[in-house]
Amino acid sequence: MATAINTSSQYQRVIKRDRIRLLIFVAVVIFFPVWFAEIVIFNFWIGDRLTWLFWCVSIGIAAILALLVFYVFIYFRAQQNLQVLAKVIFAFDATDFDQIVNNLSQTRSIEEEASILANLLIQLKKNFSHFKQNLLHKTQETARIKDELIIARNLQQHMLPTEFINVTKNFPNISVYANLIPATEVSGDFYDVFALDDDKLLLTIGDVCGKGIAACVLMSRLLTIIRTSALAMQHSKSSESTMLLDLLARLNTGLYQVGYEHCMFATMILAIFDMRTNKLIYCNAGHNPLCVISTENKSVKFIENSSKPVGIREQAVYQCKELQLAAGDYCLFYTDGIVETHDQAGALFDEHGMEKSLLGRVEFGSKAVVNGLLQDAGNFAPNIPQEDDMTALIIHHHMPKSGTMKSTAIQTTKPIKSSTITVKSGIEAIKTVQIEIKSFLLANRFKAAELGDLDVCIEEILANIIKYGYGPNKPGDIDVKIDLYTDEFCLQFIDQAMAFNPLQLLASHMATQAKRTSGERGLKLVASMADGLAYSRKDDHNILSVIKKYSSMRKGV
Amino acid sequence: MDITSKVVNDVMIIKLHGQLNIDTSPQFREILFAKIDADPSNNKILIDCDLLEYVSSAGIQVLYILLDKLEQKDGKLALCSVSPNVKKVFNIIDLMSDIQIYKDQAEALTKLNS
Repeated sequence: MATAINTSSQYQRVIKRDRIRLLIFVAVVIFFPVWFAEIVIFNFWIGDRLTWLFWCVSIGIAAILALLVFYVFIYFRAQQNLQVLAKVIFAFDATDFDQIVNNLSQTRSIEEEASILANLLIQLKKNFSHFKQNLLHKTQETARIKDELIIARNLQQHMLPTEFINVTKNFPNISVYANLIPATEVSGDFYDVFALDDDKLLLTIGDVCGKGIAACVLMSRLLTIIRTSALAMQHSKSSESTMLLDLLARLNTGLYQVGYEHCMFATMILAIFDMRTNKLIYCNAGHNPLCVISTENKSVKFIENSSKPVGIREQAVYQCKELQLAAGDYCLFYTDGIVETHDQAGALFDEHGMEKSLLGRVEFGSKAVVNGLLQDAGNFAPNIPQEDDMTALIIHHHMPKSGTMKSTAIQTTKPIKSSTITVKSGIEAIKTVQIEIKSFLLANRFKAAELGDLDVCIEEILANIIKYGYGPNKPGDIDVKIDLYTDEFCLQFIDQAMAFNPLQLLASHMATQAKRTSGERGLKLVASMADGLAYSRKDDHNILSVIKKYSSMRKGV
Repeated sequence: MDITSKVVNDVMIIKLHGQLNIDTSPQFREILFAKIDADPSNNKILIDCDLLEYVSSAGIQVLYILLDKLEQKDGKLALCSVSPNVKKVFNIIDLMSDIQIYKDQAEALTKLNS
């Protein structure tokens, strides 16, 4: 093998030498025929013309043949080298350059070319190793940051309470629940609930502007200030509102000192709830309104009144408000991530979406209301990654127990005939159920012309279960059962999605609002077309029953 | 669902054939929006419901979105030849307070151009 060529100038020298060789070769190839031709022409007129002609032709042919053999030889040798090169390239393994160089040394002759190639590859290897090292370094760095983020996330999650039974243990008619879904590993949203004494709870929810690490650091600071300051103040004789204002002033200073230069601030609600009197004293610092859900009136009210966010001005003035919760009322605190969830067309989940979600779950308690709300907001735009943290915190003052709600509409007698279809939630399921139910009814002597409403009812109910109940990310089974009685039939839609009573929406003012969504219009259609509607929740299943009286629908019965 | 369209006296007449339900309404919306966007002068639309078998809330939603879009362009939306079954649905929703329904194409065309 030729000696290694290590610099670019050596490489240039070899190229130059090769060019000289080529020139000599060309000169010889051209010189010989010309020289020969001269001899031929000169002797042709002097010597034995025929002998000369014979020699000339013979030697000429010999020369051409020799040239041909030489070319063929060069051609095959080049081919052989190319084959070696091809073998090397096909077996290319970026990790083993030494093997490549070794293989290239097997190229026969033209050592310089092989040498050039080998050395170029050695250079490539050096560059590549450098690149690999960089990449490895970056990957390790990313992995380290990710690990740290996971630790930070776990720490953050531990700062947020997840068990709320202890804080309300002396008041069985009060329940509290909260949940937070971060948009990235760590969040800027926060909440906290803890007992100030036997009767009073301190509740807070907030949102540090931005998200990710910076917001997470500030939210930790805020939570620490709230806990330590509130617990230090709990034995002072000051009133709740004085305590809240004092706390907010501390938070404002605490955040202003660290966040001001980075334009970081937070919106929050700080509240004290007296479980004895069901009175809430709160202060809203630039946060989303409080929301009161009345089980009795089936209404959702947003209470707007807020002051400046904390950390934005050195001297900020805050005001406290009072709110009396009636029996059955819920008081919800939430962050903007919920209302500002939007779909691809830009339509917002907004307060309207919240209202619908909240009303449908009022009878199922705090946990169902909060988790249902977060799920509905998430399902609102399933194809768009969550952009902001979503947090909800709720207090519920239970209604005194007065027996379970009973539906009067459902038959207690045994049906004459029954049939059940099970489908996977998905738009295709609607058609299947429509066809199956219709053919069951037609087989039982119903008139096709009278069953027009049925298709609409089936579509509306199934569409609601598929879109809002299960959502596109967690499809599940839907059972549709039909029972025939002597004068009516009953369609039951049974699903295992989160508890939701659509009939509560009908009872609320939402059903009469001018601006309705397709789901609410659908519900109204079903209610108008059916002769009876009933909802029940049994063994973690939602059961919606639609009753239709026969009237003229059946022939000759 | 089949959708056919023609333009008579500056009014685009859309004839719907089949069911306007959760399955077909996205397609209906897409086709209509494309037609409206293709030519800014297309701002009067008449939907002929003669062969429309049934409509659900998803279809009604598209009608309302269409109405909003046309009103932004100073346009008009009307329906005609609505079958009793479909009319029942429109009645429940009180669609008529927002969108005019005419007996047939001829009546609708006179009213839309008046």
